[in-house]
Amino acid sequence: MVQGSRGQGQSYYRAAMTPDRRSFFKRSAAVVSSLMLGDEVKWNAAAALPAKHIPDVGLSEALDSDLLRAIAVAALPESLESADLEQAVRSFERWWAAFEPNAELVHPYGGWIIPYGPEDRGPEWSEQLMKLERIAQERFEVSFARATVDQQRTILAEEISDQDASFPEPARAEHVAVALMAHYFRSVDANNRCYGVQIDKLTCRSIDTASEIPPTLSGKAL
Amino acid sequence: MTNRIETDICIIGSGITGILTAARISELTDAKIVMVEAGGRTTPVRERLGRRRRFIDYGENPWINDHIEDQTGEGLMYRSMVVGGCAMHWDSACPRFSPEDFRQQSLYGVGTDWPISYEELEPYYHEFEHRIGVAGEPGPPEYDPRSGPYPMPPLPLSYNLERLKEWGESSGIPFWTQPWAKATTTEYGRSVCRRCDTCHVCPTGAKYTPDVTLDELIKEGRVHLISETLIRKLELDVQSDRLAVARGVDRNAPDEPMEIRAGTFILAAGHAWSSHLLLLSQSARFPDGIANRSGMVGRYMTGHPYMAGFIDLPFKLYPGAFQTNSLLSRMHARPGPIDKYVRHDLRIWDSTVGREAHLRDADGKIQFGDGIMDDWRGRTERATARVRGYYDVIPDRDSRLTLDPHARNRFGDPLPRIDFKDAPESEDLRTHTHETMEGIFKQMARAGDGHLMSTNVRYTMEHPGGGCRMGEDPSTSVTDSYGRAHDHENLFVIGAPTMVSGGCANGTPTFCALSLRSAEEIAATLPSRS
Repeated sequence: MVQGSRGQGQSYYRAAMTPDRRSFFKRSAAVVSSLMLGDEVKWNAAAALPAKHIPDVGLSEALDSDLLRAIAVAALPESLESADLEQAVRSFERWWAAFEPNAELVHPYGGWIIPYGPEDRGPEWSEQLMKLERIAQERFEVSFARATVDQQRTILAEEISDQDASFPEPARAEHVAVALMAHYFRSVDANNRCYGVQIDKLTCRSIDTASEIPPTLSGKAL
Repeated sequence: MTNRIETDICIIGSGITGILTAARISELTDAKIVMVEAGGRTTPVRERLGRRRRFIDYGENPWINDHIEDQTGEGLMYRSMVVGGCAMHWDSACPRFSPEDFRQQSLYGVGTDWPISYEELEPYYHEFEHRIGVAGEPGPPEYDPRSGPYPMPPLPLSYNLERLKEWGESSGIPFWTQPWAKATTTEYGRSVCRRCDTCHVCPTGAKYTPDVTLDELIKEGRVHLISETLIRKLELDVQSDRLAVARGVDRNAPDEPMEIRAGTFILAAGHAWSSHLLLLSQSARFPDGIANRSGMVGRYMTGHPYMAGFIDLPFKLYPGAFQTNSLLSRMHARPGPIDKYVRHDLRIWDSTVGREAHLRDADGKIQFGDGIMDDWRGRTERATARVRGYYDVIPDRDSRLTLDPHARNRFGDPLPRIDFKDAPESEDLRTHTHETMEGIFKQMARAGDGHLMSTNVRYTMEHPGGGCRMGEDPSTSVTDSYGRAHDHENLFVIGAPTMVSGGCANGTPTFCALSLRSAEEIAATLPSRS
């Protein structure tokens, strides 16, 4: 039996998502992305995304940090180290904090109708987290976070039993657990681990090395 | 109070064709050029990096203010209405048309020959490629006739594309690198492509976008741009059929009409809005609209559908690094003598289709953790190739843009509606075309010991054009081969609207080559540059 202890002892990060914090995340994501480009385009970093272009829409809910981590322990690869797992959850939290409901999406090729993104899933996702907690208490008399991974997976499998085979875009996930899983399994890190090499999709890098097989991942990264 | 402007040349539309035309005319003459654009400025270069991040994370539109809410229509038309036009977010593929595209009737007995040959247009393709900076490798001369090399070497093939090229050519089809307007050297002042794989919004400026050229023209005083101004009507001179005035409105000051008087008018508003403006411009002498004595404005709307397939192959690839580059073959666009008219191009990309992580295993059971990873790894031992071909269709006379009486913008102008229609000779061949292309996909799959997983057809027209078809006969066309309206000697329609047919390659290089040729013709009517 796998115990649900991994990740415990981490310094959890439970501050509520204030509007200022959301703006900070939006701007930092832009700056981080520019730094990833390397020296040639660092000139962009400082002015990557002026605040005036980030409507602060105000998400309705911060998602319970402990429960998200408990889901991550149960649903993300066991082979992830604690630090990797923490990184995966924090990345999801940052993504959620900067999510803008009903945002204008990229126009489809030749489409004359402007598409908009999903609405705020906060209330629904928070309710789902509370439900996981309720079920764990009722069925196993422990909190969801303290349940064993097998118990957690049993609960999760029931709660997401109507999901499709493919992972949706995280913002379109009907269940918060699927959103967290989709966010991770569509990530650069998951893709690299799957292939065992550093594909680093969507990362800007020189064309000089394009014809080489991406470098092999080493040790812990696998 | 009416805002009045007088100029030598008025260009309506600030997309890539209008901008390149302005650049060329300003090299040849001292003519005063005013460019009018209904849209405003979109995301500046310094913000594209941050917008790219949100495009990746949330699918958000990285191009701010890139459309006008009530300036749209029904049918295939792009919503982008901005300074720089649709090429602000193009992927920048730059294949040329083939000589056969211009001679369908002579060679195959279908459609209509263009009033211009590939050979006449070739120098302008060359000029276009050198003017904006295209990176490419010439294909075999029999499939890719050209007078000179591209100005920059091609984007290098990724490991994946090298493997796929080997596989693709094992079926007897030659493939080469798609030409792109992305820098592989620094000679154009752009940074070298860093294969970020989000060409829709290039974060480094390696991809050519027309706003760069326009800003230079403005800075040098060669073009005066009036943005956020919608031209609503063209009017004739009182005593002749020459155009005299473009009337519009500043969208920020709708109570102040705009009146632009010019010696020459250039309509560069793309496949939808060019015909639309001509149809809106009705008068006693031209009750069906400007340039429409023949009734041909809005007819023969064209473009091309595509058929795509996914092929499972027995080797490992590493998709995700440089997936925007692709392989191209023009072999089937130059088929030689054929019994039935089927012409198409062929492209190959590496793909993640069938190679993504799944929530459920093959038996439909929900999986977690390393179970997902193991299942995923199992499916990545093989590769997926995406193959696709644009195929040529002959437009019907009733493939048409009309004014929609049921939809109007805030100024009360009826909006456009486009209903594409294939001519009978293409409609009759649709099934045969799809079977032929599927046969080629299967042949390719067999050559690599793989199998065709699926196919799909997109029948909405890509790279649309038409509506102001060029031709020698004024009773069956709107303009001559230079885009000069048969009915008005000082009105030129440039780019996509003048296309006779959609060919089987991306349209922009052809739109631009035609426009550069028009620019020389227009400049010849004006005093040379001092």
